[in-house]
Amino acid sequence: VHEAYLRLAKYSPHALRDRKQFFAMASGIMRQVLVDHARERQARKRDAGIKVELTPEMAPTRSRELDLLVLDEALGHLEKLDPRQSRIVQLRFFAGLSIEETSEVLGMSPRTVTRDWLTARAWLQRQMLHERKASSARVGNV
Amino acid sequence: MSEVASAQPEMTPQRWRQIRDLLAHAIRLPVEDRPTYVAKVCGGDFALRAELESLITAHEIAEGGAFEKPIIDITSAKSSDSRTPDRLLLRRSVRLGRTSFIGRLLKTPVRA
Repeated sequence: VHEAYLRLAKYSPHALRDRKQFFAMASGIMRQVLVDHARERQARKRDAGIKVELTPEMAPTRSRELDLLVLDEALGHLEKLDPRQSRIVQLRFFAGLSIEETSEVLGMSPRTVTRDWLTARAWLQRQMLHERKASSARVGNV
Repeated sequence: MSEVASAQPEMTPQRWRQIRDLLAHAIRLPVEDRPTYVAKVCGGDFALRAELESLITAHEIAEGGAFEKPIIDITSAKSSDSRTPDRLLLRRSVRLGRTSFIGRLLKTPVRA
């Protein structure tokens, strides 16, 4: 989050004048920072090779990081199908805006935001379930 | 609910819009009415039916799941390795973010 502040501070006030642009940028930066962090941690674990013995207690963190990377990829795919839905997920999930706040920022009715959010969430959830299943199959084959 | 068949047509923006609208209607219905609705709107289109059913299942799984809370809430949740430096730093940042970063984004007027 500190890093998100620093990245946001690089933009000129003119670039942030528009409220919609401001939130789009802030949530995008938040997403990027968290995804970069997850990717770095995953790389560090991979580099550590077999030095660390995996314990059941470590599994939740590991899977959550994987989920974040999978989510980022799935969100990229959703962006191609419906850019507006992707923006809504970014604002809701990465910037923590409520339905009302999101509808205000995007100039849409709360009803439409709710519809887009719920259907996007279902799509992302399915992508993540598929990936989890594929990942389990890969581990099972090792 | 069945798995999505491998013979699914490619997901295009147009197809997604169609499925999204059907899904939006389906999830507004009571759970027990959803299968009837799916059968009615999909008819003999088994690919569409499988697609819709798998999304309805995903929607039901997502309710109360990880997407219910913003990512900053999830990362600030206590975890088994919460005492590692990384995790502590992240949690501290996230706590700060909850009160400061997001709070400021919402409350501070954007200066021209």
